[in-house]
Amino acid sequence: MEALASHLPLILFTALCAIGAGAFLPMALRASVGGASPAKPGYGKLAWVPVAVLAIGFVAVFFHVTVPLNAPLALGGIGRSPLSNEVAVGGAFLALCLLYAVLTTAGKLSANANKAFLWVLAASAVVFGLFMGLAYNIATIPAWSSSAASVAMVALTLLGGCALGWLIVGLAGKSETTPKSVGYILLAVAVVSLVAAAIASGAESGIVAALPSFVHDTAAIAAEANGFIAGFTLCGILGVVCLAASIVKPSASRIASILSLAFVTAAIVLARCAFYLMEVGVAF
Amino acid sequence: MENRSVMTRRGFTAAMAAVGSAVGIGCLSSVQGGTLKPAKAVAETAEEKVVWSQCNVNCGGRCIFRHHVKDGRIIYTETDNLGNPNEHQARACLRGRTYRHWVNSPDRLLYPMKRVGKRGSGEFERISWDEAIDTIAQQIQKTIDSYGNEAIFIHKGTGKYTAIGTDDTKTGMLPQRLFATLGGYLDYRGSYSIGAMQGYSPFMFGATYNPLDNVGASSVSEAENADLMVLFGYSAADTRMGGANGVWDMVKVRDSGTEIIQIDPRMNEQCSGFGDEWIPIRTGTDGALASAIAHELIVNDAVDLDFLHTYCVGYDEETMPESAKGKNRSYKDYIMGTGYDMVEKTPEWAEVITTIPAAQIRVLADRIAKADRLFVSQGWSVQRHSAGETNMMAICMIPILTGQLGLPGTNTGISMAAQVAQPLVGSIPQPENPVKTSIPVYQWLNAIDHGEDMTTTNAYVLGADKLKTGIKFFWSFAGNGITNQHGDINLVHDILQDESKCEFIVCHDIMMTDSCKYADIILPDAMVAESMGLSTNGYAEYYNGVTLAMPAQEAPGEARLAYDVYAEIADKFGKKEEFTEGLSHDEWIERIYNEGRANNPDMPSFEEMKTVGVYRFDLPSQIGLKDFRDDPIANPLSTPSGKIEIYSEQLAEMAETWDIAEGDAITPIPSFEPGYEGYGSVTEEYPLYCAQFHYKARTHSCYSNVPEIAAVARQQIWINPQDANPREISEGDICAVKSPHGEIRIEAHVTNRVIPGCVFIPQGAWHDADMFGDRVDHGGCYNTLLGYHPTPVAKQTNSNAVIAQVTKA
Amino acid sequence: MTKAFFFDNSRCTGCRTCQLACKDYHDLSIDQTYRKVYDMESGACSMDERGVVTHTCKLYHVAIGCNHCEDPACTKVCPTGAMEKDPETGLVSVDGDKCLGCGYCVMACPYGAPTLDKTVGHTIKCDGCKNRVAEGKKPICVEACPLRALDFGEVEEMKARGESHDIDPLPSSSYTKPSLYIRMSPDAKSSQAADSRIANPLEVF
Ligand SMILES: Nc1nc2c(c(=O)[nH]1)N[C@H]1C(S)=C(S)[C@@H](COP(=O)(O)OP(=O)(O)OC[C@H]3O[C@@H](n4cnc5c(=O)[nH]c(N)nc54)[C@H](O)[C@@H]3O)O[C@H]1N2
Ligand SMILES: Nc1nc2c(c(=O)[nH]1)N[C@H]1C(S)=C(S)[C@@H](COP(=O)(O)OP(=O)(O)OC[C@H]3O[C@@H](n4cnc5c(=O)[nH]c(N)nc54)[C@H](O)[C@@H]3O)O[C@H]1N2
Ligand code: SF4
Ligand code: SF4
Ligand code: SF4
Ligand code: SF4
Ligand code: SF4
Ligand SMILES: [Mo]
Repeated sequence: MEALASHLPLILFTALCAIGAGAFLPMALRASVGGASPAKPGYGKLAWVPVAVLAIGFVAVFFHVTVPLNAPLALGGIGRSPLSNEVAVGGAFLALCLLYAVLTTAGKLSANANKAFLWVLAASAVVFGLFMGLAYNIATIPAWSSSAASVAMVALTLLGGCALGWLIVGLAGKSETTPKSVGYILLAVAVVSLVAAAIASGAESGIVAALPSFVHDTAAIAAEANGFIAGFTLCGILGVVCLAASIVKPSASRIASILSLAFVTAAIVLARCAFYLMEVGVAF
Repeated sequence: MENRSVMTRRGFTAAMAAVGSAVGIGCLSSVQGGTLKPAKAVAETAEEKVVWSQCNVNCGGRCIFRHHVKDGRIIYTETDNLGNPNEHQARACLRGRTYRHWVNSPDRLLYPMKRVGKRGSGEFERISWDEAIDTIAQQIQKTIDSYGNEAIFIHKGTGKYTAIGTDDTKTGMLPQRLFATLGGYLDYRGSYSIGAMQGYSPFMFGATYNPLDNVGASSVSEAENADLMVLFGYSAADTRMGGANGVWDMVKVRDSGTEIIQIDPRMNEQCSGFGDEWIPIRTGTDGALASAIAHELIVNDAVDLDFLHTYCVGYDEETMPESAKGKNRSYKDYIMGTGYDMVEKTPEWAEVITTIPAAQIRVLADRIAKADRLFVSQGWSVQRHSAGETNMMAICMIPILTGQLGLPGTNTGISMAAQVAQPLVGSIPQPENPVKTSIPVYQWLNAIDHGEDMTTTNAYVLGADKLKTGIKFFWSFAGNGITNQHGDINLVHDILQDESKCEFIVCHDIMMTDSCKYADIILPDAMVAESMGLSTNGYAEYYNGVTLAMPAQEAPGEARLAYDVYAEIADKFGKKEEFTEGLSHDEWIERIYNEGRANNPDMPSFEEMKTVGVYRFDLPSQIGLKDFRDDPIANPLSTPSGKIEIYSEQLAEMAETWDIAEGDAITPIPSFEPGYEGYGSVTEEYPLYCAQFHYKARTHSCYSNVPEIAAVARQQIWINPQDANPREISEGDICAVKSPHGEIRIEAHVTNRVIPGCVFIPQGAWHDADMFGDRVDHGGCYNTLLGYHPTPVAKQTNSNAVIAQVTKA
Repeated sequence: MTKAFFFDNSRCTGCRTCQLACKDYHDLSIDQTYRKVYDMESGACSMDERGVVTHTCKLYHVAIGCNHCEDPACTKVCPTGAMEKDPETGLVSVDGDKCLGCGYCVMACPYGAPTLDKTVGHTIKCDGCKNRVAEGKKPICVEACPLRALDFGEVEEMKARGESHDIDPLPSSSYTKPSLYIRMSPDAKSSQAADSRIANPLEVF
């Protein structure tokens, strides 16, 4: 539990960045499918919502480092340090988001440009998610360096993105006119992501449980992590059910999608807690 | 304490020094009350200089320091780097490596103080040096006038081994010099270390026998020529830790291919990496093991009869003295069950007592019998036990029975040689003590309580049949032996409460120790790093050398050299000239050095020594009792018979004539005795044997208050899982340990490195109890638990014999 | 020119002198340490119903600081390059000015060498006494060891004195290729032996 407290900034960073970044996927999908009004190609001020969520995540991460002023130096390790890679990709992604938000609120984007930009962001979000996962590719921490860690992080990005993105789509007044297919695609993505993240997290805890250690009761740590993973799964399921409700029943859509975001956010935080609990190195 | 880590940071130190203050002092004022005299401004020297010095505590290492000094403070310490690292290099141990923290400890005494509360309350008031010296002088005069000089006692203190402090030979002790000048004092004999060994082994090996010199014992290095080394409770890795100490000699012994067996209730650090060497034994039962080995040697015809008949008295009927002939009182009778207790000392008999499987005892005996060259030795814990005297001698029977003594690769079974015979430099001379009476050192408490009743036959008073008076005036210099290092702290407290018994106590120390709390006046001394110092190497190693220590920093507060203080006290009696002989402290050092140099012209000049610091060389190994073995007629022992007295008529007579405590025994032959709170004395209430060991975290109580050490060498009671599990004790739990004499709190170390049924406490931790409240000692000091019970003959310490119960606190 | 440490496990008595000499020289506070000594125990000492005792105990000590690995985990993860391996000596040290205090090296090092010091605001760790080494001296821990169980020098020389071994409680050397050559004592266990345990947890963690 102490480990969790010290990792709180990272928990917030990864959770918020996943949700914020992933939100561009539903936004792009909605922009591409069905008849949005051509007069309003973008999401207007709502485009700032994912950016804000991301920004809060980035602010949180500064509480993790001891000398934030040296942050720019973190780019020095690009290529070598997975952390530098993450910072670089994350920074680039944030810049891109900002650019999009500025351009779209300024109405500088045509419908097609808007669509294209959103898809670029959606794809970049997956890449960012991947690099967030890869940041923990530390060979001496087996659970973290396994590919399960990256799979889980990408899956969380998509899951969180579905919840937040769908809410934004709804707030933009676009869900009423949205073809059900968009909702169902998102629902499918969310379900697959949920399952993938749960399985990947389970795999990580399996790695931890099997680690020999002098000081850690690795089985107990894995069991504790499994508790969080179960919590993740439960909240995740509730989140997906609410998401489904908001898709199936447009009348309840607003409340359901807010609830969905709340549950999914909780789920992701729990998943990240499980992840940081599993920081068990090959030593001791 | 919170800010201590900050206090010791070098940056802070430098800053403090820059404003002309001393680190630690700010903190101290709150401990002791009152304001501080700012330390004399230290000349700003941006340059770092290296100052040679030495560690002068009582582990016998006397390791060498090279203090790096900047702005008048030690910033870090290096050690001996002279010569070849693969030969003796007096490298400091972990303790020495924290010297800077010790010398700058917030516990340092800064000015003289007088007691204002009850003895033991720790309430003191700062006084001036003038007042302290006046009071002391008046009190000395009063004591002499009312009771005579015999009422003055100078306790053994082992914290300052240097030419103007105390020494190994007990002929150059600074306080003794003062009091001899003032008409004398009641002298003590022996030591807490090897009192029983010193007092008892002469019955077997002769009046002039010294178990510590290179005549009576072999150097460890001689074991390189042995094929088997059997050690009873000797761990150089715990007690001779410096780089020129026994631990280094043991490395060489192991490298030489000598097989080693270590008999110890505790898997000591010397077993590190070589667990097969360890044979666990129940504490206080070595005599039983040795007797069973003797039994096997006898029944298997592996004794050297020639040797026994030529060199010894009392092995069998053939060599018994007239007075004891025909009474089945020989050693062989004892072993074979035909004399004394009529019990045959078979391995099966010993198995129950020692816990060592009979089969293993037979294998051990067989290995001993087959060894071409056998080196037997023991540490000092066996004899520091209520029944240690005879059990210690029983161990010596192994080399005696096998004739493995006085030859290359052998030893006398008792201790090991230290280079104390030919010190390169001496120490300040002591005039002859006009008072001829003496007591064993461990008897001082009895001598305070009921000195008038103490005689030769009940208390081993020598020089007179009995004491004329109890101790009325008590002086402690560089010792923490009033409470912390002495048996039964609660009893000491009770006896000292009656201020009509011991009327006046002076503690002359550097730290606010627990013993100081019983002083009427406390005097603050300067440490070796704060003055010039001179010393031959110590007793823990086998090389020869001398170190000249130069001052590295200034003494804090009003602390000053004891020599100057004693000169002032002598002056009050008009004896200053006699005391100083016109020389200052440093002039004495120069004189003592030059006297040594006169005998060893290779030594550098005094001036040169100030910069080279050290002069030393390796010594060839020595064989104990070699002369005697070579020619017993020309070189007889100093026993009545001139031979090794396995049967001692002297002891036989003492057994008849001495008053001894119930449960104690004096036996004329080496036997197994359980002793007070020894084997078989455990009860339902106190089901565990509780012993102690000398721990790396401290040298007795010295360095014990250095938190840097305490963090990596914790004060813990060792307890076997078999004893811990039923008590639900796990690693790190705080335990209550109770004996019939006191109670402590201490953290648990649950480990298979200690035999079931015995628990072990590292001795020397600072006693920390509310003596006017529950008396529970939270410092974990072993002596809170120990009952005061001097050994039967030598009347020395019994500090390994305690029964106890351990529970989770 | 690459340097390495040698550790004679058969000589080490776990005395902690190396550790405290290092703390003194580098002026570390009570809770900071660049070098640790692990007391390793295995086996049991037990008494049967008859009161007879037998044992299978083994004891040895492992004294380690940073191993200035050939393939350091710490430098690999360091985002700023504050954790650097000197190309000449191979000594790995932290540049406090560059350090972000992100703690990645702390997590990555399988030897527990770096620690994050919040008061100075960066990671600290054994620097191989690089200033002494530059002056041609050995690290202070090496010169301190009363048992001469430690040595430091050219990698080839150290290699000649001990194999690079996997010794409990250290992880397999395959992770970072430590520049540490060990002469094992008879009782030393290789990495992750089932019954060996760290006997002094309160002193090392
Ligand atoms: N239970 C138990 N008790 C024991 C033992 C045991 O094994 N078990 N061992 C016994 C043995 S073998 C011994 S030798 C004794 C040792 O008992 P002591 O001689 O009392 O030894 P220390 O506790 O080291 O006390 C030395 C004192 O000298 C002080 N000192 C240090 N440097 C200086 C200095 O420069 N000037 C002055 N004036 N003082 C200084 C220290 O602060 C400390 O108070 O303890 C004995 N007590
Ligand atoms: N680190 C350190 N070193 C010291 C000192 C110190 O305080 N700290 N003090 C110094 C002084 S003054 C002295 S006198 C010497 C003391 O030196 P010793 O008296 O030799 O030391 P101890 O630790 O009391 O005992 C040595 C070993 O005997 C074991 N032992 C205890 N009881 C028994 C027993 O009944 N039978 C057998 N076979 N073994 C037993 C202990 O477990 C221990 O491993 O050490 C000196 N060196
Ligand atoms: S305590 Fe003993 S072994 Fe350690 S440095 Fe001092 S004299 Fe040497
Ligand atoms: S100083 Fe030497 S013997 Fe002591 S713990 Fe360190 S390496 Fe081991
Ligand atoms: S021991 Fe750890 S800190 Fe040192 S070089 Fe290896 S990985 Fe880096
Ligand atoms: S804490 Fe400092 S040295 Fe360690 S990885 Fe981060 S930036 Fe590098
Ligand atoms: S090499 Fe220097 S910094 Fe590293 S452990 Fe040894 S003494 Fe400490
Ligand atoms: Mo002693």
